[in-house]
Amino acid sequence: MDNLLLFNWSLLLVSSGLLVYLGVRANRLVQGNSEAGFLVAGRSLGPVIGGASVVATGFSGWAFIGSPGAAYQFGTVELLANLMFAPAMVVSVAVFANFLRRRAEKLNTLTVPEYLAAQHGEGLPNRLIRGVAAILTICLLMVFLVGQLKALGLVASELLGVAPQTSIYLLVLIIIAYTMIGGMAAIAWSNGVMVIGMAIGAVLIVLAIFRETSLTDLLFQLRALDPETVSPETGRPYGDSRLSPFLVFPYAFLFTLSLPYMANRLLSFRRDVRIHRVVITVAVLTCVLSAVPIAGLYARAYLAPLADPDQAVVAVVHQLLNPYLGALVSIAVLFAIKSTASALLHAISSSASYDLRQALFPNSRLSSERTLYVNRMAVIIAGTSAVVALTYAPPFLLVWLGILGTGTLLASFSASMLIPAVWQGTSYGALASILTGCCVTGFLMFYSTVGWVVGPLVGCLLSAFTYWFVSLLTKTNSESGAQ
Amino acid sequence: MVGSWTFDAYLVVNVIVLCGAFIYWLWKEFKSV
Repeated sequence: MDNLLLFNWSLLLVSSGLLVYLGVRANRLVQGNSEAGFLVAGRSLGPVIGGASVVATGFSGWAFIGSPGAAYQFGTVELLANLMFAPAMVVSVAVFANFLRRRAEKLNTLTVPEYLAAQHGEGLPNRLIRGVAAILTICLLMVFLVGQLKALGLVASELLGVAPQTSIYLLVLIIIAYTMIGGMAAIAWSNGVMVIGMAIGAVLIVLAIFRETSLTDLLFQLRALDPETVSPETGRPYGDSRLSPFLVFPYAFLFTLSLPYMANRLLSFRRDVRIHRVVITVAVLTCVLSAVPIAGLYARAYLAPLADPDQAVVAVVHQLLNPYLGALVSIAVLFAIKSTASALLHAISSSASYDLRQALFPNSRLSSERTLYVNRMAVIIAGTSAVVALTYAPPFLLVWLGILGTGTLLASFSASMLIPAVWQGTSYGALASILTGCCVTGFLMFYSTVGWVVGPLVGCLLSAFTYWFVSLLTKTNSESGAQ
Repeated sequence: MVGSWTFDAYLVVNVIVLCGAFIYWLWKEFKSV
């Protein structure tokens, strides 16, 4: 084994050891708080860890692989579109985090499906909403998790010099270990570590590029190759209008507040958390990470044409950094994927072991030890299922898999999650809006060419309309006073 | 301004996010002082 490979393995083992250690430390919190400890870290997240966790989870493999690839293909428009996640996350945290946390605590809810259901009454309708939301969460986030694992295998196999499947087995084992042992607290603490690694990786990439060239030269070179990459007449690939890249703002806003694996961080903040400190953490980290697609611009301007645009960051790292610094960047990419994968795993498993269990068997009473056991087993089963699904999944595009899962889910949940903040609908309205968002977005993603941002946003609009309309129709009958 | 409306917008949004978050943080952190 040569020195570089030894260095890479050492980096991976040290970082993985740290993550498992954090899981073991978090286990104390889980043991002391039973189900709330596992699902929402006993509502203990402070501003820095909470903010870091929101960013690390939101910035998946897309930030280091997909987005630089899109910048390579389409130019500076991708840099702008990807940055829209920064203001969206900042605004959603500043405006809604405290509201969601307070309301979740008041309703005594620990997960997003439970929160959706509890906002819309009790009894059978509550169980129906919760069950449907849990099933959608499991199915659609599993699609996204499979996409993340595929990316994990590609990056790790190159770093470690082993087959992609072997590296997936190894890394999934590590992710399952710390998620299973420490639950949400382990994920949030490990996200705190990983987001530092991701930020260092982003800074290394940007410094390496601007040590080699200037911004003016980079844009000049791109303009000489294709003026559309610098001053596009349209917003392609986000739409025909120049304003299309800005549509990522509402998408990312709803993404942060509606998706179970993102919004459950907001439910996990501690009661006295100072939101302005979360906001400054999120703002700095998102702006730093949003610079990574510059690597795609550099690769397009100065490197030989790439067969696969998603290799832009790898190509730039190989060209500009020495192999040891390159290994650090690869670890940062792995961190970006692992942080999202562990959050997905936790959201999927808690939907199965907590929401679906209580929706199907509302009268079952388990001891706290038994509940913890069920939650942990669900993590193992979900992780194993994702690996099996990956083995048999058709070779879809990585990005498309992710968008299908997250876009459809955010269109399903956004209306019944957020509209009750200003106008209370009924359980029938909530159920209809969830199904409308899912069907419309799924249909648009499969059978139309509207694009991955427009599809979910259209789904959200129709879902909101359905929530309002069906609630109006059913409000006078049975549920007008339910809430 | 660097002659690319997308890159200009990228810089402007960066400045708005960072300055906005910083002012919000300052206001909340020290409003009671």
